[in-house]
Amino acid sequence: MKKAQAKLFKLYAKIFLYFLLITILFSFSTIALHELGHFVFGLYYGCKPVRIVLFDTSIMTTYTEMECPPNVNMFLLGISGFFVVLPLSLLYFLISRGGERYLALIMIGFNFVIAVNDFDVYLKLPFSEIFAIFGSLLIVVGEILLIEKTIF
Amino acid sequence: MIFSQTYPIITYALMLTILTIISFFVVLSRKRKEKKVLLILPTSLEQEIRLSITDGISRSVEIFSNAEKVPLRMYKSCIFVLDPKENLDKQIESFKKIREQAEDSIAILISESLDGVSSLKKRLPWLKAFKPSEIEKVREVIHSQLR
Repeated sequence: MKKAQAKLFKLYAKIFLYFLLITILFSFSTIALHELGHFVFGLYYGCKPVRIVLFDTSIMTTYTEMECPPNVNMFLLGISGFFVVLPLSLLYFLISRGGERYLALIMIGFNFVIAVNDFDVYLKLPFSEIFAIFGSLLIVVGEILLIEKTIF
Repeated sequence: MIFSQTYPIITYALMLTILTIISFFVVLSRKRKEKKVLLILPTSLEQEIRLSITDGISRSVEIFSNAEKVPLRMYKSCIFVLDPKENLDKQIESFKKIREQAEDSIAILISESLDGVSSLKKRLPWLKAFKPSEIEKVREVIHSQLR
C-alpha cells in the first residue's frame, strides 16, 4: 500500500507541475495579448507607440508606453487590453475540444486580474479589486475543470 | 502614457501557483470521496458474471479484462477474478501488485478442479475458490464486496 501511495504521490506531483506550467504559460500569453490590445487601439486613435515591455527588470512588470494626443478617448484606450483578450479566449473555448477548452476560463480570469489597474485609473471604477477576486475565482474554476476533464 | 499591471510578474506567478495548489487539492479531495471499486474479470467469464452485477450499487465500478491496463489510482476495493485457462503465476503476481492500490482486495478462482487450491491459498491468503456450478455464490461475494 505504501509503495503504491509513494508512486501515486510522484505521479500527482508531476501532474501538478504540468498544470502549473500550463497555467503560467497561458496567463503570461494573456498579458502579451492584453498589452497588444492597448498598443493596437493606441495606433488606431493616433497615439505614437514608444514600446511594449514584456519584462522590465527594474520594476519587474509588463507595460505599454505610448504618446497620445490630448483629445484621445482614455476610456476606450484603457479597456482595450481587456476587450482584446475576451473574444480571443471565447474563440479558443469554442474551437478547442475536451478539457483544454477550460484554459479559456483561466485566460478570462487572469485578464480580469491584470486589468484591475486599467479599471481603476481609466474607468475610475470604485472597488476595482473586486474584479481581481472575481478573476481569481474564475481561474480556480477553470483549473478545477481543466484538471478534472483532462486527467481524472 | 503608460498602461501597466498593478503588481510585478513574480506576484502573479506566486498567485497562480497558490490558485493551482487550491484547485489541485479541491479535485483530489473530490476524487477521494468517490473512490471506485476495481473489478478484473477475464473475458471468458464476463458473460456469466458481469450481467447486472452492478445493479443497486451506488459506488462506481471500473471493470477491466486485462490487469495490465489498470491505471495507477487508489481504489476502495479490488476484486480480481483469476482466469483458470491462463498462467496463474503471472495473474497472482498481477494481483499482488494491484492489491496495493486498494484498501481491501480479494481474488476469486472459478475452476472445475479445485485440487491445487490449498497450495494456492498458502501463496494467496485472500483467494476464494469456487466451482463453475457455484456462480451464484461468486456473484454474491462480488456484490458484497462492491457494496
